[in-house]
Amino acid sequence: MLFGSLEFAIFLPIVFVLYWFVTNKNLRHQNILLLLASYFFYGWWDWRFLSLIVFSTCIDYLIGIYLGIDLDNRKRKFLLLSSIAMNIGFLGLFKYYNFFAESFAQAFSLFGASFEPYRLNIILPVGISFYTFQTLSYSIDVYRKKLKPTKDFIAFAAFVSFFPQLVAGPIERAANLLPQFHKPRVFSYDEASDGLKQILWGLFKKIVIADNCAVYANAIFDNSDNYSGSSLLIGAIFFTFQIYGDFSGYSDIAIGTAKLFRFKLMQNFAFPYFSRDFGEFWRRWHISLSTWFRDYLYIPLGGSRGSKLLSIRNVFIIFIVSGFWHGASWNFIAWGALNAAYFLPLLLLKKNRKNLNTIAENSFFPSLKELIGMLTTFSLTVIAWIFFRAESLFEALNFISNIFCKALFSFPMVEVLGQSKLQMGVVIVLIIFLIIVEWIFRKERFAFDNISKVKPFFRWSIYLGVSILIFIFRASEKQDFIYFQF
Amino acid sequence: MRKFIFKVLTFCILFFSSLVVISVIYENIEIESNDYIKGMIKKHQLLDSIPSPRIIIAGGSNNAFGINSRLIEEAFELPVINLSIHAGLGTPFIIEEIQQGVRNNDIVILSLEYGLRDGDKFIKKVLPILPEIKGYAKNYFDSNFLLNIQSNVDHVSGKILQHLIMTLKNSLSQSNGIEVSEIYHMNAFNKYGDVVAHIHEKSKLKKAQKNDDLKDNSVNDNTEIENDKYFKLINNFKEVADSKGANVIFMFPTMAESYYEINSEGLKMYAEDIKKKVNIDIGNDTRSFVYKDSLYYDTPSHLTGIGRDLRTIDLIKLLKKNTLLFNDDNDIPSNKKINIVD
Repeated sequence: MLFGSLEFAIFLPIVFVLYWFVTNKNLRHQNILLLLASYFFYGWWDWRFLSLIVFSTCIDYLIGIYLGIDLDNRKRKFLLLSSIAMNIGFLGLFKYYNFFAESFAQAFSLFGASFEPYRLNIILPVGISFYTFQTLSYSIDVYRKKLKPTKDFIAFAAFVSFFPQLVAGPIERAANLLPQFHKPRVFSYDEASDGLKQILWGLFKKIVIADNCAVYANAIFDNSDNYSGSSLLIGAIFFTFQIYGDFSGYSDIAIGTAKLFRFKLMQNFAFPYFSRDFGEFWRRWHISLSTWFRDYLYIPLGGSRGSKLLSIRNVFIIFIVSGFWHGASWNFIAWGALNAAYFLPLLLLKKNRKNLNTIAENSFFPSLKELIGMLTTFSLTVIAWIFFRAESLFEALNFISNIFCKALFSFPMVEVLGQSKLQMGVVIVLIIFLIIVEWIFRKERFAFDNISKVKPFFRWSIYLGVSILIFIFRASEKQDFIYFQF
Repeated sequence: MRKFIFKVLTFCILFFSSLVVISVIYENIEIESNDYIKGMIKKHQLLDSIPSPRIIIAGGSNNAFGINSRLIEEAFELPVINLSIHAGLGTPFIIEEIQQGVRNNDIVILSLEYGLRDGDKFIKKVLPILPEIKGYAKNYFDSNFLLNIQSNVDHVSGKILQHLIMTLKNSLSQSNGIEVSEIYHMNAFNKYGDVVAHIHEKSKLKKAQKNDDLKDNSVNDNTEIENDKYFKLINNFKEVADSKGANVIFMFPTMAESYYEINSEGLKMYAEDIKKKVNIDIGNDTRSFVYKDSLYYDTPSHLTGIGRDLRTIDLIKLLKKNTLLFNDDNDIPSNKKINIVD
C-alpha cells in the first residue's frame, strides 16, 4: 500500500477510528490492532512475504528472551550471532545472492575460467533492509544489556512491523520505539495535529516534487546519450530533488502517521541540502541509517579513535557498506566510496564537526562563506547521486563524462513525450517553492513545525493552499517510492 | 479528540468546497492544445465518415509511424483508416475503440505493441486535453467506475495545470496553444491518419544495450494471468467483429533489429502464447517487420519514412497471401481484391 494512494487514504482513517474509539484505553488491544493493521498494510503488497517478517519476529523474540537469561558469554555470543546470521542471511539471499554470483563469475573469467552462475529468480521483499536492521538493533542492544528483552510478543511483533515505518524507515532503535508499545497511549491534540501537518508536507514533497522530477530525471537518464552536457546536468539536479522529495517525503508521512497513534519516531531528515559540508550533510541525511551504522559498525570498528590509517579504513568501510545496503551493484558501492572521499578530508583536518548549528542561525540569509559551502556541498552531492541513479557503474561514468564533454554551456533542451517545455518550468518553480519553505523552517524538525505562532486564518490558508497545490500539480503518473526497492 | 475531529472535518469540507468552486470555474475553460494525442479527433472523423468496406489499422504508435496507408489503399483499392496512435492508451481502450467503430465488411488489421497493458494512467493524462476521448470507447469508460471518478478529478486538475501553462506561454510568446514538438503534434498526420511529420527525419535511435529489454513494455514482465486477461478481450473483439460481419487479422508489430535480438526470448514466449490463446488469424511472425536500427526514427518501434514504406510493402505482400481475408466468399467486390501496385 502506497502512502498517497486511495487505498491508504481509506485504510488510515479506519485504523485511526478503531484505535482511538474501539481499542482505546486498552494497551493490549491497541497493540493487537496495530499488529493486524501492519500485517494488512504489508500483505496488501504481497501477503506471501509476511511469513518472512513473522519468522524473523519469532526468532528474534526468542533470542531476546534467551539473551535476557543469565547465560555465559559464549552462549550469549552464539545467540547474537544466530540473530545476525538469520537477518543478514535473509538479506543476503534476497538482495545480494545474484550480485555475488555474477561478480564471482566475472572474477573467475579474468583467469580464463568462465562459467554461467546460478541465478535466483526471486523478487526482493519490500522493506527487507529496513526491518532486518530494526530487529538486529533489538538483538544487539539486548546483548549489550542496553535494553531489557520484552516478554510481550504482541508488542514486539508490532514493533517489528509497525506500518508507518515498516517498508522505508526511519529505522528505529528498539530502545526508542519498543518501550512506546509498553506505555499507555492517550490521545494528544497537539501531537495529532502536528502529525497531520507533517503528513501534508510529506505528501507535497512526494507527489508534487518527487513524482514530477521523476518524469524528467527518468527521461534524461534513460536516454543519456541523446542529451547535451547541460541537459544531463539538469537531469542530475532533477534526480537530486526527486530522491530528496521521495525519501524525506516518505519519512515525513511515516513520522506524521505515527504521531496520530501517539508514537514518536526519530527524525530522519533535517534539511540536508542546506548543509555547509559533508560532515553536516551526513548528520542531516537519512539520519536513522547513518546513526545505525555509526552505533553498530563504526564505533565497534574503533571509529576515529585509532591511528589515521585506521580512521580512513573505518570511514571507507562505513560508507561503502552504506552504499551496498542501498543496492547490490557496483554503482552503489562507488556512490558510497565517493561520499567517503568527500568526507575524509574533513575528518583528517578534524573539521567534520565544525558545522553543528543550523545555517544562518541568527539571520535570514546565509553569509557568503556559508553560501559557498552550501553550494559546493550541493554540487558534489549532485555528482554523487548520478552513481545512485545510473543502472551501472559504466553508465554513471559515461553520464558524468558526457556532462563535461558534450556542450555543458549550451542551453539545455529536454524533450519528454507528452510534456511541454513550460511544464518543466513549472516543476522548477515548484522546486524553488520547496526550497523557500524549507529554508524558512530550517531550524525546526520539519516544515510547518511550530507554525501555531501564525494567526489561524493564515495558517489554514497555508494548509489549504498546499493541499490545492498537491491536487493541481500532482504528477500524472504515480511513482513507487525509490526506497521501497531497498 | 472532538476538537481534532471537528477541525479535520472542517478542513475537509473547506478543501472539497474549494475544489468544487475551482471545478465550476474551469469547467467552461477550453484548453487549446496541439498535442499529438489530439490526432485522434481526425482519425475518428474518418472512422465515422468513410463508408464500409474499409481497411482499419488498429494498435499503437508502431502503426501510426510505420504505415504508409496510401500504398495499402492503392494495393487493395479500399479506403484505409490508420486508427492507431499510442500504445499507452492500453489494450482495453484500443480494443474497445475499434469494437465500437467497426462495421459490416470492414477489414481490421490489429497490430498491438508488444507488452499488452492497461492504459488508465495514460488516459487520465489525456482527458484534460481531449475530453472527446470518452466518446471514442464508451463502454470502456462506462464499465470502469474507479477510472471515471479518478478521471473526473484528474480532468479538473489537469485543466487547471494546462490552463496555467497556456497562460504562461501566451504571455511569454504570444502564440496560441501548447506545442509539444513538431513531430508529436496534432497536425503530424496525413489524411489516412498516418504520422508523416517525421518521414524526412534521420534516425535518432541508439543501438540496444544489455538493459534495453522491454520490461517497461511488460513483454518480459507480464504474468500469464495478466496476458490472459488481454487475450480474452481480443477474443471478445473477434466475436463482436464476426457478429458485425467484419474480418480481423492479428499482426505482430515492428521492432528495431538490435532490440529484437535482446528481447527475442520474451518475444518468442509471447508469440507462442498468442498463437495458442488468441482465436484470430495471425498474419505474420515476430520477425516479419524487423528492420535495421537505422530505419527507426526515435524509438525501436517508430519507423522512419523509408522504413515505413518497406514495412508497408511487406505488410501488403503478407495480406495478399491471406486467403481468409481476400477470397471469393467475402463481400468485397472481386475487382477490389489483391490488386497490388508494386
